[in-house]
Amino acid sequence: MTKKQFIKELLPLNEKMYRLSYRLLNDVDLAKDIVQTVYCKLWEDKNKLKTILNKEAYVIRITKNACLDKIRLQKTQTEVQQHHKITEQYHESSEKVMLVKKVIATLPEKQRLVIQLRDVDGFSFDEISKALDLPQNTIRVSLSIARKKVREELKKIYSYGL
Amino acid sequence: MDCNEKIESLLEKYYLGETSLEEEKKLKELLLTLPDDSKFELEKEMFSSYNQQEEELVVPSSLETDTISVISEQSDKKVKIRKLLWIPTTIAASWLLFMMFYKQPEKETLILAEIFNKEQEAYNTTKETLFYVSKVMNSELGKISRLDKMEQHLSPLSYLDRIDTHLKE
Repeated sequence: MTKKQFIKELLPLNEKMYRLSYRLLNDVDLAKDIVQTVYCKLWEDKNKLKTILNKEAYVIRITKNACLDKIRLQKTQTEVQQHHKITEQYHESSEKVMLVKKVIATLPEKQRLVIQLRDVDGFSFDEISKALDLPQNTIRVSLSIARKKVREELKKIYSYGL
Repeated sequence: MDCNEKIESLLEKYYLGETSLEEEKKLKELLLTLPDDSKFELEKEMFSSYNQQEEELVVPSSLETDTISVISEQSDKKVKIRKLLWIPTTIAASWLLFMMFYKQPEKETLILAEIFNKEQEAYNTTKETLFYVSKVMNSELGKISRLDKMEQHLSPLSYLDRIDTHLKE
């Protein structure tokens, strides 16, 4: 695979890679680093890429693994950073958006990731399944639960002004 | 089917996690065109929040160019290494070729000379060995002559064979 082919085929995936990395790491700089690291890895294994039919799914899986490695390495640091980033974003967003974000943040991790990747970032079920290593049916169930929970929580907040 | 009915049926599927990406896009479009005080106010809020969250997470404009430069750097590094390896390889190959062609005649003479010396040596050794063998053979032949004497003494016994044949008859 030439550099030109590599850029043409794989570079358009950088947005999805970045969004997934951000959702998993909650840090824009780390997400950017991950995307570049993954591209370097892909370039090193460019001969292996010829044999892979679904490159998008492969790239998503590699990105997810890179993020998990990063989380394992910098677990405590990331947690601190996550807290700061979320707080910063709440200040930047409008009150209503902040409210929905807050509700989503209270969801269990799997449900939070599923709803963010699907409803915010527009990932397909197949992509989410590859990214989270979960079967599509489980993703659908988690998504359904998460959506209903968000609605219920918002209903409560609007009804009681909580 | 009017707009509200359409939204209702899509929302039903949406909450069950059964909508496709296209249907969700359509649902978002329909909800965002509704006035704030509609019966789908909550869903409108949710979808407009998701929309805003999507817009908030801006992929850095430098990501693409940075990635391209990282890839280019890596591929250039490989070319550089290849080039660096090429220089000593070329030198080594040239030296080998030079040695092969330049040293060949000298080597040939050397081999011939070696062969010649070895032939002389072999000739002398063979001559010495044959001389030794003949000397040993001559001395040992004396011992073998006793066998002739023994044969002479045994010849009178040949009449026993004749007796044996007569007896069989």
